Amino acid sequence: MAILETYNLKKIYGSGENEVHALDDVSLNVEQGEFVSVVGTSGSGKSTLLHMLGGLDRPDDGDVFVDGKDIFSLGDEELTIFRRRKIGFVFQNYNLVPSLNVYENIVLPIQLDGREPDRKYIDSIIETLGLIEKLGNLPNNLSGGQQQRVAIARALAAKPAIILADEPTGNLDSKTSQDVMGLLKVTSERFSQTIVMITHNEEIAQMADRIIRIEDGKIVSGK
Amino acid sequence: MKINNRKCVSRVSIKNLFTSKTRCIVSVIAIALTTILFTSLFTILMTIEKGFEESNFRQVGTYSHAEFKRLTKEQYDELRVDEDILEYGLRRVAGITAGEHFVKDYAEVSYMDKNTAKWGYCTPEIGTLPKENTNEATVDTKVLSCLGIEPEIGKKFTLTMDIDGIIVTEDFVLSGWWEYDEAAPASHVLIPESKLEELFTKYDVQFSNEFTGKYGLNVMLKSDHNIEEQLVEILERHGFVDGENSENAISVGVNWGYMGENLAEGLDFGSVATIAVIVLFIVFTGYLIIYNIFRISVANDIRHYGMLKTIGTTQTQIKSMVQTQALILSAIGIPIGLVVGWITGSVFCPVVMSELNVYNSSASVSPWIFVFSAVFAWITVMISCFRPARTAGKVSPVEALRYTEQASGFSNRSGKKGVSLFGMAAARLTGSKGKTVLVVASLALSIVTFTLTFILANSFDMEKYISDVQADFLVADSKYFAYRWDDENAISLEENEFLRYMDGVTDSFVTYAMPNEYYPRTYFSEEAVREIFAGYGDEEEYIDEYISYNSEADGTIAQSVQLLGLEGTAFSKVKVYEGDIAKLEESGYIAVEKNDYFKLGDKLTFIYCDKWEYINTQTGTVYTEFESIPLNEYDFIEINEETHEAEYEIAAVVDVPYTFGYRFSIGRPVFITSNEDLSAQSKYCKPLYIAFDTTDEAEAEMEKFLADYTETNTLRYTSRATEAASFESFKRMFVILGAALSIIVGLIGVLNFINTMITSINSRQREIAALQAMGMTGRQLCTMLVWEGIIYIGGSAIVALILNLITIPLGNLIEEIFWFCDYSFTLLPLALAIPVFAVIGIVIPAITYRILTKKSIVERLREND
Repeated sequence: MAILETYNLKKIYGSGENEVHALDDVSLNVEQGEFVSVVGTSGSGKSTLLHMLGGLDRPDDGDVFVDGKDIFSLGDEELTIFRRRKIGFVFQNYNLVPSLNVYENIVLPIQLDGREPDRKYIDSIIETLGLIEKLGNLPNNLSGGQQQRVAIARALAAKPAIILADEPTGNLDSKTSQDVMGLLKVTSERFSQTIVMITHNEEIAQMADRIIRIEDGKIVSGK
Repeated sequence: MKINNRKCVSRVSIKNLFTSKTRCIVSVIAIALTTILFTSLFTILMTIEKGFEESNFRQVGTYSHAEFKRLTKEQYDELRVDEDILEYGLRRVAGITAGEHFVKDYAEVSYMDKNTAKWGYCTPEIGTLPKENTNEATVDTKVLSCLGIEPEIGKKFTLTMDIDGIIVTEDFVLSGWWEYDEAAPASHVLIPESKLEELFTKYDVQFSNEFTGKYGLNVMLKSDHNIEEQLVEILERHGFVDGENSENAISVGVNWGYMGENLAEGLDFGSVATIAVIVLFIVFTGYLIIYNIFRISVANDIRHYGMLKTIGTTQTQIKSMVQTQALILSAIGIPIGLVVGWITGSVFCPVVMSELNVYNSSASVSPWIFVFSAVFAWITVMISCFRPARTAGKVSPVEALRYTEQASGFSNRSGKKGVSLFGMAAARLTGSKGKTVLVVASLALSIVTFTLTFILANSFDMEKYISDVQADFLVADSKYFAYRWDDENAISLEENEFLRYMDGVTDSFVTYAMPNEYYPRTYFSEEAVREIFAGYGDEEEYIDEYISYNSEADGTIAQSVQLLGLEGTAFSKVKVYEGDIAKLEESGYIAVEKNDYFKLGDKLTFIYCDKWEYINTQTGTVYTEFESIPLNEYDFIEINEETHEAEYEIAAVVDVPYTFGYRFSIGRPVFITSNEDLSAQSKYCKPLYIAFDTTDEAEAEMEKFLADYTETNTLRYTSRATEAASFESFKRMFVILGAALSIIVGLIGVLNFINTMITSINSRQREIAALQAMGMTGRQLCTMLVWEGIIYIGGSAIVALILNLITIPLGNLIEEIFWFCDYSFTLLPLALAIPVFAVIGIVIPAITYRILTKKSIVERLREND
């Protein structure tokens, strides 16, 4: 079953001579539980694709279905609510809330939704990611790898339909990158999560089930 | 090695400064507001000083620096060209007015040149000074009213004068006039010098007294400091000495209006302390916002400074970069503040001046206002950017990359409860405590200023103030109300007693008093005298000397005291602390104002002066006035005093409100006896005022009558109604100044709040975008920001409440300072202020939310700081 489908996504920036086709007729499917990586050079359109998938940016043309829902048929506020229930984000620069401690950061998406966190599930995520000792810490007292693990925990916490990771290891050294990737893969298996990750690092991309290559706004392989 | 890098440092700091327009604008406004507070304060102070000086000059009768008195023509011509005399003017006195029109008052008849007339406030408002070789005369309006002539140029009139003892009557033509100033020492008739000479020849004047026809040289010197020394120097240069009694002695008169020199020297400790407190308050207010702005901007630019350090910029250079920014911002903000502040100050000057009984002159433009204000504003800026500059200078290049403000907050916070929107807002604010404290303090300060103004103004108790007024109406000579009463301006009972019998008058009384040279004396203990003299500010040595000279065998010292004679219902209007004031109707009893030196039942001896005269022991001539003794007889003068004593027992200790008595104090307790007793003891006692009550219906009629009646003579009156009005106007001044201060301090608080909100939201754009990405709705985001605003406001309200509660115990102190205050604490002003601030606390975050969401989430996520 396809948890994520896109049809003929188009996004054009600028006009006339400066016109840039960031996405040019992109259609793809991601199955439930799949770990997909999207690779491409800088400016290839991979970030734009990820933003479309997460409903952060609207396409000029085409549709995105997440869990069978046409997300761009939703209004801004509805889309935001849909996002917090169905999509988890992991960013390159972690983007944790500096004034909240680790635990508060992890459960934030659930509480924003007005729900009570599922303690058992959360505890198991925390344990898997090795964050038990750090729950009371503020983000600034954590290393980059630890911060990214918190971000992964946060993305998982709401039991989303899909996790979108934007260069999750971009700020990390290679050793830490391997650790974080390992954890990402383990958690995706253990909690049967669908993950779409963009990266420009081939080695990292190899850890995914499938690799989609994108160039000049077009998918060139892995579709 | 000295490297000139000043230019480079400046350039970098200027470039960096203008990268944030908002910050520039906010800091300039903050600095300008602080400067406005200083400038307004100094403008008002300098204008008060100017008013005092002007009042003094008007009492002296001139603002020329000094006068060389009683010169001959030769001396005058020699001295006036002296190089140290910047400007000079001539005055020659002919005599004084005499005759039936000038029984009560007199005017001086003299020639004044243009300068002297100008300095002496004798420049005609209508018409011109008298022209030479005519019989024109220029006079003041008091002379006109004495003569009973209409002010009309060319009007002919006759004037009777006393010229060196010769009574003459001459015809004059009115060439101009000016408004007589109540404060002026004398009234004037100005005539041409030619007329003066003509009079002297015509009547064969012998110049038997000291001043007739002599040349008075009024001068303006190069500076108004050390006037006396400058004069002596001038005299010596021409072979004269300062003095009276020798061949080459010339007497000089220094304008004492310049002796007080300035406000600063005449200030008592209380006023200095008050001004110091206000200045500190302004510095603190300014510090709260300017420090916060620099703190935030340094925190935001910390990576920039880290980068500069990495490429080899020294700590001193970075510090000086921050200071250069402060300098540039001040260079814009301070001048704006000076201009706006002076305008603000000059708007409030009339309000203050009218309450101070000083000459109401226009706002001072003294350069000192601007110098002081600019210096204090600059000091405030320097203090404020000191720490931020140090922080920027000390930053380690490595840490700068990781630096966020939280580093200074808690390192850890346990808890597994998760957070609400409110919790996030609270966590954010407690995380950056410094900023929060500064904003809260800034806002609380303005709320407290407002609430205290309100509470104080509300505590001004009209009843308490009016209760001090002893009767519905009180009529006395205007000098009485100007604190300058003496027997010469006692109210005439023959002319005014009818007031007591007018329709509607229910009750009346006359209070008698003694002229100050005939104050009775009574014996004080040495201790009491020491205390009283110390109260005057006298030196210990002087007091010792005084006591050793004057003490009696039993160690007591006779001191003059103010004594009032009351009659009839007046006794019942005196507030009695202990004893029985009714006893005063018998002789041998006296009442005293509550004091530390005498108590109920004390037996006192009063010494009354029956006769006081000066006798020249050589010739036996008797003078009753010190002023009439010829200068060359001073050495042979002895005082001949005759006294008698009276014994009293203190029958009551009472309160003597100042409106009851002389309206000025000599630092010793006031005594009260009966009119009968006072008249029996001293022939010098005179009526001080007539006071009376009327029926309610007659009050308005009487008010109108007295207003008209006192127009025609030198009398003035007060009524409960006028007292109430003056009370109201004092209260109004207080409220206006307090409100103005609250508004400016409030603006500073709100500006601080806005700046903090905007900069904090700007600096976490990416963080907020991430929150939105993971599903925070616009509504939730806005709510969170509004919570932040509400926490600021709520915190300020709580701090303000605590500060307000602290003032409750100060109530007694306030009642002591303002005796008419009935301190009543109320939370009403706080309740009024909170909604206003709450609206600001909600609106500002809502606006910043709008600014924030102008950029899409994706744009903000991509932003690298």
